[in-house]
Amino acid sequence: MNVEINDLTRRFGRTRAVDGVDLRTGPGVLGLLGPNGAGKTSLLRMIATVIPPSSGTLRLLERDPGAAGPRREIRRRLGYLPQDLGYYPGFTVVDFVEYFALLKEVPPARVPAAVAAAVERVGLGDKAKSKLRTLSGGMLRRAGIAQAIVNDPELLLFDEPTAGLDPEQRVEFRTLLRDLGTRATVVVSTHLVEDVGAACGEVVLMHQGRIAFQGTPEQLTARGEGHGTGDAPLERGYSAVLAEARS
Amino acid sequence: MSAVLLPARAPRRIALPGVLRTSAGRLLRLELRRSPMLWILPLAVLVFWLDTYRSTMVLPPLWGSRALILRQGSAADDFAPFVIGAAAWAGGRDRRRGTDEQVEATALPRWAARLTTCTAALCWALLANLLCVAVLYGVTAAQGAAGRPLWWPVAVTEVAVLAFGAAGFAAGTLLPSRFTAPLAAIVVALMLRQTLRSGGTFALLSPTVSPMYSLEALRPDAGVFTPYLPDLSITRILFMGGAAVAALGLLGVQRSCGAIGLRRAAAAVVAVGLAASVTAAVLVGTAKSTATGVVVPALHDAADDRPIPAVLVCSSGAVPVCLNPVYRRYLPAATAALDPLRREVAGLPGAPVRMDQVAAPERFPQVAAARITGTPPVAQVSFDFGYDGAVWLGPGGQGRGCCSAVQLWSSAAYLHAQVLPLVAVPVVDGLVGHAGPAQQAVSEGLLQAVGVPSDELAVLVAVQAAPAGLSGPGTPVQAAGQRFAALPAATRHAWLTAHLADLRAGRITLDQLP
Repeated sequence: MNVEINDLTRRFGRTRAVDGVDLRTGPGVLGLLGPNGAGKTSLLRMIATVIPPSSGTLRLLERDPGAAGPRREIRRRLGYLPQDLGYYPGFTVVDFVEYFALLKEVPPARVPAAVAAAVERVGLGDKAKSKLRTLSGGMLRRAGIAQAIVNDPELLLFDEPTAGLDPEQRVEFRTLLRDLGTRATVVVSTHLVEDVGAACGEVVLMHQGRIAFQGTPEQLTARGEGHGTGDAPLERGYSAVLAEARS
Repeated sequence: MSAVLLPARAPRRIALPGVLRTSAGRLLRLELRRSPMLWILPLAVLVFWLDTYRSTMVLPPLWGSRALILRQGSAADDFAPFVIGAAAWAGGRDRRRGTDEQVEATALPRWAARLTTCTAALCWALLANLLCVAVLYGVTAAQGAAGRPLWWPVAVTEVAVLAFGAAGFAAGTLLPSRFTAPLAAIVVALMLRQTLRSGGTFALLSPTVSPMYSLEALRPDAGVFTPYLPDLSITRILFMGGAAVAALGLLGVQRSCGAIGLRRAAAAVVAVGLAASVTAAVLVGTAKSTATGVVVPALHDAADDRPIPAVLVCSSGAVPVCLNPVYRRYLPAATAALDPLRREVAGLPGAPVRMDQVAAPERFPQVAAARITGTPPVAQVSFDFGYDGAVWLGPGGQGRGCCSAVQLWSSAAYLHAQVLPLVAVPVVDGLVGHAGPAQQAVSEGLLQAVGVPSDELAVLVAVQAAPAGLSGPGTPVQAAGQRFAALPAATRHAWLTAHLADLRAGRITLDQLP
């Protein structure tokens, strides 16, 4: 198991953003669904080792991120794309991706090839030498994805990765996700159920910091038959589970 | 016409040096290419040119003089607001650009990443400042400057630039805001202005020094007669270097900077830096101001007090003028300036047989001064060849401001007006004395004959640079003096040769004067 979470809780003041979550997942693509404020981003930030949990246990890549040495080892094998992508406008795409490759301690001899591969993989090869300030929102998102995958991570965390991408790019991204999921554990937090349906082998639906549903997209679809509201079967499953959780 | 098609050549790859092929080297190379310091430094260089360079180049081509403006901390002052502002901007980059989380989720300890960004910014600042100083020193050397270049002021300047950069980066990192950089630049500029106006002991720690207020004597002959005193420079380097180290340590003490061991190491670095700065502050508290510089007893090397041995270069004539070889080029001017005096006193009993240049004993030396000493008598003369109205303080703290040093030492009129009186008055006074009216009359007559204008003599008396008093207008002493001055030179010389001993002994009255 690359991600093992037991009774994980994260409080911000009196608010329990994540409330007793248990989760285990191995290689493949896991979709994190849920309404705003459900705790998806907080859970993802804890898995990204950016914030520590308030209680509970978390093991990533069979290591304890609470200890400095293992945390550093986890971070070497981790890719993270936060919801609000930050970037340096004066850097070129290659500079930006190389910078993160070096921060992730990719062996220096491998850096140029890894950077080139990551940039090509997100379809920014022709913009490799462009300054980030000249790129559109969708291209910036792709540059963010490139920095996340440059170290060929075993654990990849994407927070709203398709925000700003046009339909064609989203289709390409889903293909990339499926490809990445064959070797690594990919956790994708999203509002867009169609992303989950197209790319994820497993779905977790969160509501008020808790897991309201965990299963395959097909199982989620089945929960919505004759109950939920929405245009697509998966959306109906989503709304049905949420309605059940709220009641 | 036919076109010859050449095969496309593959772009030549430049092999990187080994160190740049490591992770740290690659990261540093990346940061060097994208450092905001690169954008701001042209402004700093422009200010350096307008201020330090132009102020320095009006000074005579002597190393001691040309280092004067640098010793005032001008080069550090010109760079400080720009360096601290750009460094603060670089330090706040991750927070400003929203990359905090992405960077934090990476393996490299945050302290190391910050140090790399900071190092890149400091490298550019240091390089630009060094280049500016190198141009300044290079042009000075190309002009054939005499003496030896002073390196301690350069070292202080560079450490100051490093300290400003490190402090700015730490401020930008720990207080990330778009206002941090401009505020830091303004605060530092104001602080440096304030230390310029402060004459206290602890103000000596500042790299900027005002010749008007500072306890440090900014003499242009530093390093000529005695070695340049490095005590204060070492103290400043310790203080600012300590501050820089502490600032770099501060970059690693936050919780997000890495493992507890790393943060403890960063805290230890802060402690070491602060200890160095506090030590420097304690040391400067014991500093004493002397004519040759500031002495810090704990750092002082007695060897620095010993004169630098030099074989003087002398002019020809009855009373040769001898200068330190550093000032060889001024020998004709100094000889010409003192020529009327030399002619008057040559061969008189008790008159100096030579005029030897010595270091001025005062903290703020006059353009020239003299005293007669030894047997046979020798006039020990001090000249300030590096004099400049902008930096020099004359007797009583007043700048003379007649002209620049270059103008003064290249104009016979200025030399006779400014230099001759300051040497002639003490030499004539030492030769004749001024105890009685006859001596006073002969002194005044002799000075008039030498060419010291009476108004200049009045100024010298007013500022107590002339030991003798000045007779009032219409008095018998003044009349006798004028009569003596009007004598033919040969008659005057013959009378003095015959009667100088009696005159000095007070055995000649006013009526007995020719």
